[in-house]
Amino acid sequence: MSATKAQINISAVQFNSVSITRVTACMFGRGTSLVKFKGDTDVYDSIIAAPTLQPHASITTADIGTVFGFTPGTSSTLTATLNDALLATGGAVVFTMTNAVFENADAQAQHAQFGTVTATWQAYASDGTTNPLSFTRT
Amino acid sequence: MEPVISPIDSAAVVTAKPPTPDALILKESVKRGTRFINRVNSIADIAEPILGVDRSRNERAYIRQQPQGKLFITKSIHDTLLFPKWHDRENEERYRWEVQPDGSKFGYLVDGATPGGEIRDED
Repeated sequence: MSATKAQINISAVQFNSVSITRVTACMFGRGTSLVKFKGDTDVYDSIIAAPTLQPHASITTADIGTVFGFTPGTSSTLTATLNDALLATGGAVVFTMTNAVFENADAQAQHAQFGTVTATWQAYASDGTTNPLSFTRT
Repeated sequence: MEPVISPIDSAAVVTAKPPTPDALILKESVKRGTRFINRVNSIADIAEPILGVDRSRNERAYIRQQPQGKLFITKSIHDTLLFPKWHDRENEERYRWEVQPDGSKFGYLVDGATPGGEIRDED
């Protein structure tokens, strides 16, 4: 079966060699911030630049215990696989974030609903230049 | 009497295969396809043979988007363009870059650079 070219479901999520299962949502962001300039007689911004990139990620899971076991400030590698919609070979993309620093975990549990936790990470570049977020195919 | 073979005998000249680069920089414009997986595959199809990626040994080409529409690709997630901030050679290039006719760049680790990335020894 050839790849469907569409992806459904995240799996194989790991941080600091710890597997995170029961994942219901996953987000990797490039973290681009724009700064705008206008001066003199400008009415509109005359320059917009993107000098700052702050890659980040968040994972929502029902596995509250595992995520609450992470220590804020811990730096490691975060990986997740976005699977082909029909699990076809060659259709999945692996996100890998190096120097991912665990930031926070917000748990919530409503009456008669499964409890979930959303964990967040921020990533840094050890050389200040190389994007800590990479893609590869499985 | 033994025949004397000239060291520059044309028959003995073998074109040396260029060494496999340690890193690759491609322009994002080489991406093909409209879907995410197609774009990743189109880059991996170019990068994996150049970098000598052996998928049977679980090697992969890790693709990083860099500013100015460039892609920095290596076989290790820990590779960086420059030596890390904590390194004695902070801000120095880890690769010697050779520009190819198509505009891509082949990177070769400079002396003292560690294959697979610079890893800080934890105290």
